[in-house]
Amino acid sequence: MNVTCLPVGKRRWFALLLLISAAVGGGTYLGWRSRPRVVLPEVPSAGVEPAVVAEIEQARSTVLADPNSAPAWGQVGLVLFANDFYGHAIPWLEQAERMDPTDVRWPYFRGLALLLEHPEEGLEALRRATILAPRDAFVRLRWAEALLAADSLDEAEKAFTEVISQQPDNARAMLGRGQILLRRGDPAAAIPLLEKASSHPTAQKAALSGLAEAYQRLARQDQADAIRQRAADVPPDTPWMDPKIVRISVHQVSRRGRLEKALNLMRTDRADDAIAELLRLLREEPDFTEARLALVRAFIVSHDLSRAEEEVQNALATDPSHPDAHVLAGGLALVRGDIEGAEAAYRRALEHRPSDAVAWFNVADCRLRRNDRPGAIEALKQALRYRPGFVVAHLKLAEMFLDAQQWSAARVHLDAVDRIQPNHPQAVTLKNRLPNR
Amino acid sequence: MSTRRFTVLGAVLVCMMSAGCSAPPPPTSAEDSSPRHPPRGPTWLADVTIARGLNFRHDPGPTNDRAYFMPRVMGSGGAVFDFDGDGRLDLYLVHNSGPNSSRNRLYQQQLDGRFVDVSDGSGVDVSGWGMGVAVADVNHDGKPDLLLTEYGATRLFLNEGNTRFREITRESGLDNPLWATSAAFFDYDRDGWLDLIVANYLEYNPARSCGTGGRTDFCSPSSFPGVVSRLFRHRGIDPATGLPRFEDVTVAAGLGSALGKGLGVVCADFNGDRWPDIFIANDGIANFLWINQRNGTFREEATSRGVAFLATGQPAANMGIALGDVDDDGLDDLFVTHLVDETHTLWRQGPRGLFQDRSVGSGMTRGWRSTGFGTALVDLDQDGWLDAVWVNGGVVRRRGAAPNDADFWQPYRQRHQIFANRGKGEFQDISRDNPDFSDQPGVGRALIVADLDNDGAPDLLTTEIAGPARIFRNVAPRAGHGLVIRAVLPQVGGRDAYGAEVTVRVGGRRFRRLVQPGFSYLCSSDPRVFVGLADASSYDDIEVIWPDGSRELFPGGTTDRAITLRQGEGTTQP
Repeated sequence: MNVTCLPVGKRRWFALLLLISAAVGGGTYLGWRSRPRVVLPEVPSAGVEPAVVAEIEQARSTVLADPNSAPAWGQVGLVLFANDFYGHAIPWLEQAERMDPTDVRWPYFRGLALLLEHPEEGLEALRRATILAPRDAFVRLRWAEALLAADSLDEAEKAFTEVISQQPDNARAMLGRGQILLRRGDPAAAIPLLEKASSHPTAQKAALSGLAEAYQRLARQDQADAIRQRAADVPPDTPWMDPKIVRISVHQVSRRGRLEKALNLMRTDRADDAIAELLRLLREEPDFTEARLALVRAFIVSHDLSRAEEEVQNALATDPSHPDAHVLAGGLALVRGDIEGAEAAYRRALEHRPSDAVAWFNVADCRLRRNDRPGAIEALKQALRYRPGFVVAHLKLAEMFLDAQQWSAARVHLDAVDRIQPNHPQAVTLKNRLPNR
Repeated sequence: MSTRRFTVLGAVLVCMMSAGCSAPPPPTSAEDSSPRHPPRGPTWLADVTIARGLNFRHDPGPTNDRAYFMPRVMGSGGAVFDFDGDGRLDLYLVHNSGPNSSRNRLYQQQLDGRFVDVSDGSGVDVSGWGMGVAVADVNHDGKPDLLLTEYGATRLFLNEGNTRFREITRESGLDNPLWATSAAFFDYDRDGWLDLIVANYLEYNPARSCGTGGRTDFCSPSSFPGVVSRLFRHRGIDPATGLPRFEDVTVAAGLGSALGKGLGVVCADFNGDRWPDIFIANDGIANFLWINQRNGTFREEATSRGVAFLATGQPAANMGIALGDVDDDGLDDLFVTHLVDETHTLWRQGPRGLFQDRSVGSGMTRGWRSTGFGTALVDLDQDGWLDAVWVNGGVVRRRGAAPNDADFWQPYRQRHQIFANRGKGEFQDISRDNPDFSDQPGVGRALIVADLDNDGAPDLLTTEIAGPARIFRNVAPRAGHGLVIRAVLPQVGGRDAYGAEVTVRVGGRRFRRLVQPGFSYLCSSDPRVFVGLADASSYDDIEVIWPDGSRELFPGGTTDRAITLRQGEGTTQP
């Protein structure tokens, strides 16, 4: 074997190099062994549902595995945010932003979390988000609304105007700009913007309210009155859809969050999907009465009354004092023609919730079907005791008194309907039966 | 490559591998994070609860059974009133621990200013899910009577003298089986008898459980439908029984059409027609402003008058109410307390009958965020400007806070706030100067204004869930002179003239106050009005618009005294 040896000088250098490498390697190893442990911010656990804890822990373990990953840190923040732990989410999102200052999600969600209790810091975080995503209208509008709430009208107006310049039909931006003009005492300029915004279902009530105020300030009383009435009639505005919030909603894993998901499926006419979701939930949480009652309603919507009946009995077995369970049992009994059973169920509901005017009304209905007129009148009076503006109960009483030719008693209830809902068609018809008209 | 470069690389490697170079920030504290600073100005309020012998501690019921039963978190209030007619204000304080448990307490003020519990056998030592109190002389016998609101009931107690009250709920025709909160007496039909408005909260379903993030907590009002608030017309004394008789006119008066979630109520003339209107603070939905149509009916106009929603057009969690002219423009402004993630709102009036949300510009949004309930606009330092004060306390646990088994109410406690009006409605947070009032966290609910020691300066009384009722003596350095004014109606037994508007004129300034003890949240305050007059040692005259719409002028005089104005003794004005 032919061995080539290095010259003595070079060997010395080589040995020295090896020594240094060993020292560095050893130092590095020792340093790694004795490295400070990653200190993670606090996450909630006491009293939190196991599913939520698991979701948080799963995200947290990703950070432990890769502490230098901005998405890992941010993900914990998003999971916490999705489950309403806003304060806890803040440090995780802050760290994610520090590691990756280019991702708009971190300052955006941190800003939203901060707005709740530290609005100035929240505004600053949202401002950074708008810089990172200059063409994201959702981010800019949320910032603008926060500015408007903080009375920073100039900045807010600039932000709303920027959105309108990109999206001339954006109702949310028009609503915001209209509100600013109103605040500045320029109702005439606010009106066209608010009118446009009022056609959007999510802005309707706020825009109509603003319009009523604008017309009032312009002393156009008739228009103000008409629009005020419209504002009163439309349902409350729902929150603006935010794609970023929608995206993180998958992390909402609490049983109430899952129930809400199922209810949303019901609201969008997806009863079958709602049933599937509720059955999954109830397999894990069999004592969750509200979910079971939602399932009963879903079966009723799907015309599967036998399964609805089965589930309502399950609900009553779990929670015999739940008034909603008795009310549903009463409704199902009525459908199958069991008047006695229905009344018994409604009365049991009233034992637990005597203020349930609708249950009283249903008791009255059962009494009537059983030819007990005085009993029906008494139950209807109870319904009105708890809900004096209950139009249907007033109409029923008026009709019964008319049938009995008790004109003055009938008139009392027809007058009440007039006060509550003028020109109600059924009331108009019943009034024609009064003798002295 | 030099040894030094290797060493640096090694150090960098060590640093990178340890991840110690990018240490995360410290966790956000789940504790009350509102800042505490050393005082920088004079103290205005001193806690004298113990010195005055008040030992009331609110009982919200056990925390191990039905812990999240919603009425518990809405708290209870109380009243100050001179039930024995000795010129010293007495106290009535309410528990809400449920039937057959802690009984409400009646305290009589003694000559030395201490309060002695005289509840037993008084007839008002009742228990239940107690909420609020209203006070009025409903039978014109010169003695103030008590109205108690509860979850599921509204009860009327007639003051029979000698520390005896008799419940006359059934005989009086008052029937309100709903969850009643604040209530106020006022004469909406100007017949001389005090009518009653009772704010009802919502149709609560105790079977419903709520929470966030998978933790059980109290439900929010959005979980339940609203209900109708009740208006009762006083029909005078029933000759058959000799007792006052009330008629439920909710539907007939037009209030039956609106389902609300009422927590606070105040009755005042909001549109300047000299007829009293009704403002109801609704929790989480648009407020109601019922404008008196002068024919026994009301029309809801909150939206068009600007007090239904915040400036953003959104509804808020409206709770306690204070009314007063904060900017000296001759028009009453409206302050309503809200949730921690909203700002409390100051709606300024102008022009007459129209309001605008001017919260941010007022300075009232500075300071820490809180969930406010009872509140008042009152000139504590007599500088001629109404200051703002409110009590705080959560309705759900602080964000992220875990349930506290050892101290259930700890995560709900917050600190109270006080803001000085530096002129023209510009407010400055002086909470830090008032450690007695603002440093001790509590689940604050009612805030009552009353001159308990008759020294001419309005003091405060607060109630807390599961905490003590506390008396705060006004020790603010007087920035000027003042008047304490009682306005009474001799022709109806000398009762207080609820609804009267009292305006003290000094030079070019007009100091306007409303006689109405029913405001704030769940409570009844001193029926007298307190007028700070800055540096005026005398006043020119006092104008009173009486509840029947008539106007009288009373001659001027010196300040720093208490005076009583009787209808009919002034000079009638057009």
